[in-house]
Amino acid sequence: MSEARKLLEIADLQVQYPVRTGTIRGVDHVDLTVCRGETLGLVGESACGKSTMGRAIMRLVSEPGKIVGGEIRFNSQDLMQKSEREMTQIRGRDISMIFQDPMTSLNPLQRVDEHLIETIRTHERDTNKRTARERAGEMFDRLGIQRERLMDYPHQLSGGMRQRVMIGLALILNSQLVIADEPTTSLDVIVEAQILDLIKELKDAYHMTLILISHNLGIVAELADRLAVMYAGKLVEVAPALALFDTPLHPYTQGLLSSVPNIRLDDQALHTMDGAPPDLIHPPPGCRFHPRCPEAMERCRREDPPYRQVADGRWVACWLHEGVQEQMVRGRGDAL
Amino acid sequence: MTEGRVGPVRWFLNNAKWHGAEWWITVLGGVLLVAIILMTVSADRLAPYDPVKFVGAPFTRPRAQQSVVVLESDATIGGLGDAAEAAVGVVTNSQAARELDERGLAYETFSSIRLAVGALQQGEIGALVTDAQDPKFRKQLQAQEVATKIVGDPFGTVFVLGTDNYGRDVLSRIIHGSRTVLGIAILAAVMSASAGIPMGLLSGFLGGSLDKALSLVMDSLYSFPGLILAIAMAALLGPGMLNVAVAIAVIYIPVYFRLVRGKVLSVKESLYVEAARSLGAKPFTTLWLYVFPNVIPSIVVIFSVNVADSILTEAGLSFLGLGLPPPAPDWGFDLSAGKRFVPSGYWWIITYPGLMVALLTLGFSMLGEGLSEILNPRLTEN
Repeated sequence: MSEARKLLEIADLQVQYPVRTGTIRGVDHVDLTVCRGETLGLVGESACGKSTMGRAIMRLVSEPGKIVGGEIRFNSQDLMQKSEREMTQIRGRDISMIFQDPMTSLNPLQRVDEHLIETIRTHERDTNKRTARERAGEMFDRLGIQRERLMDYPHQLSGGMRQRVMIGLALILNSQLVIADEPTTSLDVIVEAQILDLIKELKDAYHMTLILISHNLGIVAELADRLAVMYAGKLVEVAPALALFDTPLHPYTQGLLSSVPNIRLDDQALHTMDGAPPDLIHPPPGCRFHPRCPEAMERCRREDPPYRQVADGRWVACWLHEGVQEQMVRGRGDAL
Repeated sequence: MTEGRVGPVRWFLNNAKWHGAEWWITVLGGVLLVAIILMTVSADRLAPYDPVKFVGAPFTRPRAQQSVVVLESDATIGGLGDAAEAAVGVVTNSQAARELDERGLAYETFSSIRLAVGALQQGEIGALVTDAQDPKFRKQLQAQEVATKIVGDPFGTVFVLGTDNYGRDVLSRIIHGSRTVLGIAILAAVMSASAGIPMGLLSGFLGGSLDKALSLVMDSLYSFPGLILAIAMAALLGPGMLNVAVAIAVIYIPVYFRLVRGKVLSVKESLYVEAARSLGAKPFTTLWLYVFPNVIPSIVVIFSVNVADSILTEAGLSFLGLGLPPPAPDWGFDLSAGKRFVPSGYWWIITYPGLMVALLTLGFSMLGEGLSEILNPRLTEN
């Protein structure tokens, strides 16, 4: 992948939460690259660190969490070196975020238009109120909300409308990168479909790059070009979406995919993964997934598998695929 | 959702449960307060007398008939009309003097009853007209072997709530006293709010060592018994409206600080604050537009409860003599000044100021509690 296409590069990112009983490694040595214009789906079960990742990119990890190491390069600039003031300018203008719960992510005491106008005027000081209001109106047209709802308070809007407003807030300044943290989790399925359609439509219209954080594989399948699977603070597999759904390499990804109920299959039983997510203060030695892994080997208990590229665009951290790289490369070499 | 925008009054009416106790409590508290505040504002017009002047005989009973005692010496006086024929003496500033003025009658004035009686005995005046119906006064006259005769009640009922031991009108003192009490209590509450709220906002929002230091100071201040601290402060600052207000304000700063800080800590974690930050809102903007407005509802409630508290403290301070200097009308001071006359049966001197303290406190408490019930989102949900 050429340098120019890389919008965001995360290298060796570590986020830790000091708590009374120890240190939670929310994000542990993660490397990830996001290309311009793509949609990256970040999936994993609850508390695996995917939201923390999203927040870390904006340097908004909530207290007492802290980014303790690593690089976040956005447009070839290291965000970790930026001052808080510079970050404030980047947030909302270059990178913005859509949150999980639209019911509580708008200030209950501010009218909807004020949210939009304030966001515009925070970053573009010379924009006057009237122009900002006009732009808010245009955004509402795009979002499919009547303009007169601009004067409403958040509580007068439905959940779907509020999420639309949140999307509008994230897009009003043409942010290059939008991080959507479970944008449809608290919405019902019909509204969810509408919101997903809207995101898809706006993504094309605004040429934005999207990081879609979700535990719902269905949503991710619908939107994402590439998928990154997280487990216990680490990336276990990154692959193009289709390839990942076709041939999941990591046993965790396989488990994740097989636990999605499928109405077409005759098999009525719901597959589940045994065990529970590991304690992130005292993670298991070796591969963090080994206590739950059906294919765990002796080596998995001792050594942490490295995160490696095993094929073009396919990265995995698993001992099962050690040496796969050479085979695949050799295989391809033969074909050529 | 089809509901349109509604004003605060309509909102209140929509949200209040008409049969619920909190609605009645709020309205009752509000009515009480409005009445007392109206009384305060138009004290000059409402009060029948000057609150600091000795306008009547000491210890006149409430609604007692104002009697004119005409002391006869040589002159034979059948009534006030006849009294006009003789030289009439009047005690300075008494109600009698005012009435005689209105009737266009000439009189001589004496600064005290004793002097007037002396003049009467020496025949300088033919009659003494005074407001006195005081048993002590009469006893004094009898001792001086002056014949007394009560002539009618030309002035009607005058002192609705009686007079105190100096002959000042209790009603006028209550009406003017509400100015002192409300003024000091509200001034104190405003001062402690305007000190405690910004500190709480900053402390909760910034956190860190500033928060730790401020919390420590405020908590230690909070751990003092309020009245004791107020007494110390008032004694230190000396009398005067502003000083008393400051003394009271100091003890209530932690109330606001703790409330606001706690609220900020929870609002700060809410998603809309995080969303605002993710959109690039500056810290000050976040504090001013997102955190502060969401803290206001709880401040409103605590403010009115706090005014009620301040009233009690103010009454306590002036009861102990640490309020305004004596001639100023002040409920707490009147309570303490009048309490020694209760055993003699002059109950009205302290009953009415005490009742007013209770009513005013009740008004603020009821308003505050009622509002907090109504504003409580958990109760309005269904």
